[in-house]
Amino acid sequence: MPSLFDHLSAHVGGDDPGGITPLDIADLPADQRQVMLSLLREQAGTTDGVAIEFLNTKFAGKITDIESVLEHLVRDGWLIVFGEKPNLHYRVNLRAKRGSNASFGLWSVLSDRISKDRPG
Amino acid sequence: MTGVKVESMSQIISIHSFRGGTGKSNIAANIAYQLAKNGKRVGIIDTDVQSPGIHAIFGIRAGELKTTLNDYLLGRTPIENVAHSLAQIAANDPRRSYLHHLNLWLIPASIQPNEIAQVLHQGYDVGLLNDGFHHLVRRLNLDVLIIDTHPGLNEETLLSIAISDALCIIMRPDEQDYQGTAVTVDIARKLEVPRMRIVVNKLPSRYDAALLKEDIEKEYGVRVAGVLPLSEDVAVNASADVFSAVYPEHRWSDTLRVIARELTE
Repeated sequence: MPSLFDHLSAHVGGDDPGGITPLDIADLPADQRQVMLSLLREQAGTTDGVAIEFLNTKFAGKITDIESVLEHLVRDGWLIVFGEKPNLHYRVNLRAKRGSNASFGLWSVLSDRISKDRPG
Repeated sequence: MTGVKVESMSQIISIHSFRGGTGKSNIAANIAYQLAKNGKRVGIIDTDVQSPGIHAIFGIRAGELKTTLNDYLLGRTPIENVAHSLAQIAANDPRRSYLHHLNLWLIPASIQPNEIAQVLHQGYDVGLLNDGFHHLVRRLNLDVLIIDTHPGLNEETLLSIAISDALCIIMRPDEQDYQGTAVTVDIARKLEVPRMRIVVNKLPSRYDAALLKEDIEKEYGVRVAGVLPLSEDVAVNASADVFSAVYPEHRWSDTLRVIARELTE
């Protein structure tokens, strides 16, 4: 999970990778959180995302204006939208895991040493 | 369509602990084995890329498996190529005959220092991990996918919790575990995990298991799936085998079977 320092340095450095973390999802308002969690659980291993028909059916009677919730999430950059109306598909824009700032060379050296020291 | 499972009928179960050393991976491996033994198609994935180890419990040596989760996360190969059938791996090993004929797949994380370093150094697309979970369930036609998480709370752990049908939190009767478990329960509630269970592990014999179970359920408002005793036999096994497969009559194994049943109910 990115620390406060990571967030601040990303903003200062202008290299915020964008996207949302699961912890951020937990803090969203209830309607938005439910939609995001549903999308995460239904993503089903495709790059096409989840169809709006599915969301309309799933949240009928539970969320009064699902399209407005989706628009809000897209505007905030938490959802990626594919296709054209009325055949829209949505996918959660998860924040990529940042790499470590530790020197990779250090790990390579360590790995080489371990390989050399290994018996056989 | 015969032989094709509807994904929504499958279950994703995350096994998590706030702190290390709780016996999480050992319990995860044993649950996976018990479910597979009961005829389910089971995948078990080691998402603890920083400190992987679940492969050892299935008797697999470091470097024995050519492809790992790291290869998938680094974009080198599709997820199905890093799922290894444990029945096939153990086919010529009479010591691991308990794995023969099971529909049980392991998705290991790499134990090679440079591979671990590469993932930590480069980072990866967390969305890819989510796609991988769902893809595995569909491609392997799984009934259950068990995710062995990294202890504590990080992005991949929270993602695993968020997409799970059931979350199993492992804790010891230890003040640090009590506090950490409270944090995990709180976040899991916010992430609306449909089913949450706690497993207490390594309970010293002087404790009253029934009383402790009652206290924990009252404190967290979460059902305790089982209380596993601190067992010298399990310690001597030293994660070198699936304990409940080798010692099915042991008291520890009895409780483990109850836990496996509770998680999939």
